[in-house]
Amino acid sequence: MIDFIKENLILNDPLIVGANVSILLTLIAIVFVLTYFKKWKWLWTEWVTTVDHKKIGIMYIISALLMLFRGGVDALLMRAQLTVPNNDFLSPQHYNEIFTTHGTIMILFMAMPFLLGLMNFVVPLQIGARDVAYPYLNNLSFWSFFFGAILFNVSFVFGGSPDAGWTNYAPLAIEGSPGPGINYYLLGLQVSGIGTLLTGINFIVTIIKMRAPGMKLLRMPMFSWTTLITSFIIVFAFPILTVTLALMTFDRLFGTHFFTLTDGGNPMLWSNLFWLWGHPEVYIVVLPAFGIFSEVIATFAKKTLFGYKSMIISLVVISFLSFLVWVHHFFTMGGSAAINNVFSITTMAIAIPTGIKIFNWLGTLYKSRIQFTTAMLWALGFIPTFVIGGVTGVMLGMAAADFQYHNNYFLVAHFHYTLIAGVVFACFAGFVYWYPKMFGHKLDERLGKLSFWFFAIGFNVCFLPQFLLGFAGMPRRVYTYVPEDGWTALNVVSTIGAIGMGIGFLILVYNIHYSIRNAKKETTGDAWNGRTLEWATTTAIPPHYNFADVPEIKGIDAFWQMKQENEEKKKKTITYRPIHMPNNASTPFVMSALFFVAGFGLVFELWWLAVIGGIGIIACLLIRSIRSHKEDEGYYVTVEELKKMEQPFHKEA
Amino acid sequence: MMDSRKSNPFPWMQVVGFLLSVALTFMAVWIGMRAGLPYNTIIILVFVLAFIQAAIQLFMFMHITEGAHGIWQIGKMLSAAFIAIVIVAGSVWVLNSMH
Amino acid sequence: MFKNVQSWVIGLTSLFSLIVLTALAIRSDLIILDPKGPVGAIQKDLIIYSIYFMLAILIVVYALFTFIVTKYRDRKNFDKNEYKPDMHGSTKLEIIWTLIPIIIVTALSIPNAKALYELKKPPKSTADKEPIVIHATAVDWKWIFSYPDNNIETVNYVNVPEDYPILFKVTAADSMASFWIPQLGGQIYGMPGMVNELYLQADDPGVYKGRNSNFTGVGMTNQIFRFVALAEEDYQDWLKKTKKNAPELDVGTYEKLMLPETVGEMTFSSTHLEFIDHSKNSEYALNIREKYGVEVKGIRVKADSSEEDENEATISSHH
Repeated sequence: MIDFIKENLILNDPLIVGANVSILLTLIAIVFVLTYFKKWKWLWTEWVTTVDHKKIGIMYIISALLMLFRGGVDALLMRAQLTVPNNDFLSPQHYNEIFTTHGTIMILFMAMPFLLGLMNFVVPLQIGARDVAYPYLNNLSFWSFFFGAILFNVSFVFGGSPDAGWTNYAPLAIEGSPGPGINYYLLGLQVSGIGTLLTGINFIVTIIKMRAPGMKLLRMPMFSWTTLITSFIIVFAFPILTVTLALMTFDRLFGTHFFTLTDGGNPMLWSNLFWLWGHPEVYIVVLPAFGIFSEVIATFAKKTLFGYKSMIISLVVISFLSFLVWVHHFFTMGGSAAINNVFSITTMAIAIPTGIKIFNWLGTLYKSRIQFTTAMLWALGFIPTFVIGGVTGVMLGMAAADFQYHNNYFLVAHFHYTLIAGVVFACFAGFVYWYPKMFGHKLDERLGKLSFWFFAIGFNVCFLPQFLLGFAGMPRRVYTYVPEDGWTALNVVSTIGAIGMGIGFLILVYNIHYSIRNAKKETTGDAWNGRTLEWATTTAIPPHYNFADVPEIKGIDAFWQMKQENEEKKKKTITYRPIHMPNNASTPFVMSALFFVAGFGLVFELWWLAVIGGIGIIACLLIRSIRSHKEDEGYYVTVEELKKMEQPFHKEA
Repeated sequence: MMDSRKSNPFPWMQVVGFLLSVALTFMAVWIGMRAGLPYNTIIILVFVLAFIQAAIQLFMFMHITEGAHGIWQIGKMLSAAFIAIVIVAGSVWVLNSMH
Repeated sequence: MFKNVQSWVIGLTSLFSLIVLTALAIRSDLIILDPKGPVGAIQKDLIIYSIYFMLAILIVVYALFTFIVTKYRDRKNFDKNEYKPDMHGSTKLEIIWTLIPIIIVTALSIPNAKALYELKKPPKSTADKEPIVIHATAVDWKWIFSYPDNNIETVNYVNVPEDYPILFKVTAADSMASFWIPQLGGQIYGMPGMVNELYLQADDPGVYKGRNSNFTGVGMTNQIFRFVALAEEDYQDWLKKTKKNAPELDVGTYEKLMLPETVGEMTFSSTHLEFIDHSKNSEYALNIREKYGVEVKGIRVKADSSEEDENEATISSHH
C-alpha cells in the first residue's frame, strides 16, 4: 500500500509539487471555513442534494470556471515553453501531459459544463416550466460529471496525467503508454459522459413535454431551440463515445484487441470511432453558444430575431450534417480520393447553414438600437472573430489542401477561433447576461468591458499569428523547435496575446468578487428589459418553484409581448394552488462517489476496489428503482407560502 | 412534472428485458469467439442478435408502444436508424478504403 | 455607450497589429506557400485560390458588420425612422445568402476533387521518368528509408535526384506517424501493417526538412529527417560510393533501431526488407522491444506472459 502511494505520488517536478501543495491548502481552507461557519448542513441540503435546476446550473458553472482556470494555466505553461526555441522550461513528458489535459479539460470539463449549466438554469424558466422533467437524474448528471472530472484531475497529482493528446490515438494510447495516465482519461471521460447523456435525455423530454400553455415549438426562444437540437445530438453521439472508451478500456485492462497493433486489432478504428463522436461533440458545444448569441443580440438590439424560422432550419441542417463529416479529421490517413472527396463536400457544406446564421444575426442588428453592454460586446466580438474560424474551416475542408494543413498550427488556430470565439465568448456572454437572474445583482459593467477587450484582443494576438506558423510548417504538439525554423517571432507574439487573455480572465473573476461587494441589488426580475420568459419571474432570483402563475404564451418573445400589453397584466388576479415539488436526493451523490471509487480501482487495476465500487453503484440503482414512487412523494408548497412570496407583486382574488 | 401514480408492482418487464439483453450479448460473444463458424456466418448472426436485442429493449423498457406523439416516434426511429447506418456503413466504407 | 476615444484606440491597435503581423509574415518563411516541387505547387495553388474566396467573404461580412454596428448604435440623436423593432425576416435575403455560399462551396469543391485524384498519380511534369520507389518507415523516433532497387538503407536522411518523381511507400513499425516535407508537398500517415503511397518531387537541388507531424510520444519533436535533392550525377555518385563503402545492415543493428529513441544519421548497403516488411507485419518492433526489456503495455498474448510482468509494466516511472 505504501509502495503504491510512493510510486504514484509525483514528487520530482517542482511545478507539480507546487500545484499539489496549493490544492491541498485550498482544500484545507475550504474545510476550515465550512466548519467554522457551521455550513456543512447548509451545503448538503441546499446544494449537494438539490434537484433544483437553477442550483444545479450554478454548480455546473462554478465547476466550469474552476476548470477554465486549470485549462488556462495549462495553456499559459505551453505558451511559455514555446516562446523561445530550445526551451527546457518543460520536459517533453510534462509538455505532453499538459497539452493533453488542456484539450480534454477545455472541451469536456469547461465548455460542456458551462453550457450545460446555462441550459439547466435558463431553459425551464424560458419555457415556463417548473423544473426539468427528471430532477433526480439532473442531480445525478451533475455529480457524475463532477466525479468524472475529479477522477481526471487526480491524475495530475497521483499516477501521472494522460499524455497521448485529447484525441488519445491508438497505438500510442495502448502499446505506447504503459502507466495509469490513459486509464484516467478513459475512465474520467466515461463517468462524466454518463451525466451528459442523461442531461440530453432530460432536456428533450422537458422541452417537448413541459412548455407553458400556448408556447408552441415555433414560439420558443432560440436558446431553448438550440438546447433541444443539441440534446438530440448528445443522445445520438455520446453512446459512440461510451462504447469507444469502453473498447479501449478493455484493450488496456483486459487484453482484448480492438485497437491494438497485433492480433487483429485496428488502430484506425479508434480514430474513426472517436471522431464519429468528436465531430458532433463540437457542434454540441457550438449550437448552444449560437443560442446564447441569439438571445443576447435580440435583447440588446431591442429587436426581434431576424429570420426565426430560417435559424431553426439551419440548426436542424447543422445537426444533421454534423454526423456526416467526421472523416475530415483524418484526411491524411490514406483514404481513397473518393472518400476524401465526399467528406470534403460534406465538410464545406456545413459552413452554409452556419453562414446563414451569421447573416441573420447581422439582419437582427440592422435597423435596431444597439446597446453596448458587456454581454453585447461578447456577442458582437463573436461575429467577426468566429467568421475567421469558419472560413479557415472551409479551407481545411478541402482535403487536397488539408494534406499541408493537417496537424499543424493552421489547424490549431482554426479550432481555437471557432471554439473560443464561438463557445467561450458565448459562455462569458451568457454568464454576464443571466448573472442577475442567478445572483440578484449585475456584474460591474466597466470591469466587464475591460475583461472583454483584454480577452478579445489578446485572443486575436495569440491566435492570428498561428495561421502563419501553420504556413511556416510548424506542427502541433511539438514541445520545442530550433531557431533555424524561423518560428520564434510569431511564437513570441502569440505568447503576448495569451498573457492578455489571462489578464482578461482574471479581471472577469475579480469582477465577480467586486460586484458581490459593490453592486446594487436587482429589485425586479427583469434586469435588461428582456424579451423572453425567464425575465418574467416575480423576484430577481426566481423562487424555487419558478412561476406561481404560469402565463399564457401568445407569440415569440413572450415576455416582450406581455410587457406591451402591460395594463392587462397588472389587473390580472390569481388563485393560488399548492405546488408539487420534488424532494432532495442524496443517492446520486453517493452513486457518483462510488463511480469515482470504481473508476479509480480500474485505473490502477485494483480489481477489488472496482468491484466494491461496482456493487455500491448497483445498490444505489436498486435503492432508487425499488423505492422511488412508493416513498418519495415530494412535498407541496402551500398556498400560504405562495401568498407570502408572491404577495408584493400580485393582487389576490 | 410529478407523476402521482399509485405504488407500482414489481418492474417485471424491465428485469426480464435486462436479463434477455445480457443473455443475447453473451450469445453473441460465444458465437464470435467459440462457435467455430465461418466468418460471414458470424457477422450475420451477430447482426441478427443485435437487432433482436434492440427490439427487445425498445418494447420492454423504452415505452415505444406508449405515448400519443406518433409523429415524434416515427421521426425518432428514422433518425436513429439513419445514424446507425451512417456509423456502421460509414465506418466499414472508410476503414476499407484505407489499406 | 461607445465613446470616440475608445473607437480610436481600438482602430489604431488593430491597424498596428495588422502591420506587425504582415511584417512578421514577410519575414517568416511561409514554406507551404513557397513549394519547391510540383506536388506542393498543386496544393499551394488550391490554397491561394481558396484564400481569395475566403478574403472576399471576410470583406463582405466585415463591411456589413462595421456599417451596421456604427450606424445603428443607440445614441442621443438616434433617428427613430431607422428603428424597426419587429422586423421578422426576409425570404428573399435568405435565398440570396443560401445560394451564394452554395455556389462558393461548389466552386471550391471542383478543383479540390481534381487535385485529390491528381495527387494519387505521379507528377505530370516528369511523366516520362519512372518513379524511384523508396520505402519510408517510421520507428519511434526515427525515419528509415529503404531503396529496394539499389539495396541501400539510410536513417534520418534520404538522398534523391532532382527533378525526378519519387514514390514513397510510407509505413511504420510501431506507431501512427505522419510523413511530411512541408516545402515539397502534403503529408501521409504511415501505420504498421499498412502502406500508404505519396508522390513527391524536388524541382531543384536542395535540402528540405521533413518530419513526423502526428503525435507519437516524447520523441516526436525530434523525429526529423533531411530530404536531400542532388544533381543527377551527384546522386549516382552517392549510390556507387554507398554500395561500396557502407556496412551491410545486420539484424542486430536493425533490432536496436526498433527501440524507442532518437538516433543520428546512418547509412547501410542492404535493406531491412530482406528480413522484415513492416507494411505486412505489425508485431516485429513490439516483439523486439520485449526481447530487449523495453516496457510495452503488457497486453499481447505471449507464450510465457505472466500477471506480474503486466503489473510491473503498468505502474511505470516517467521518462
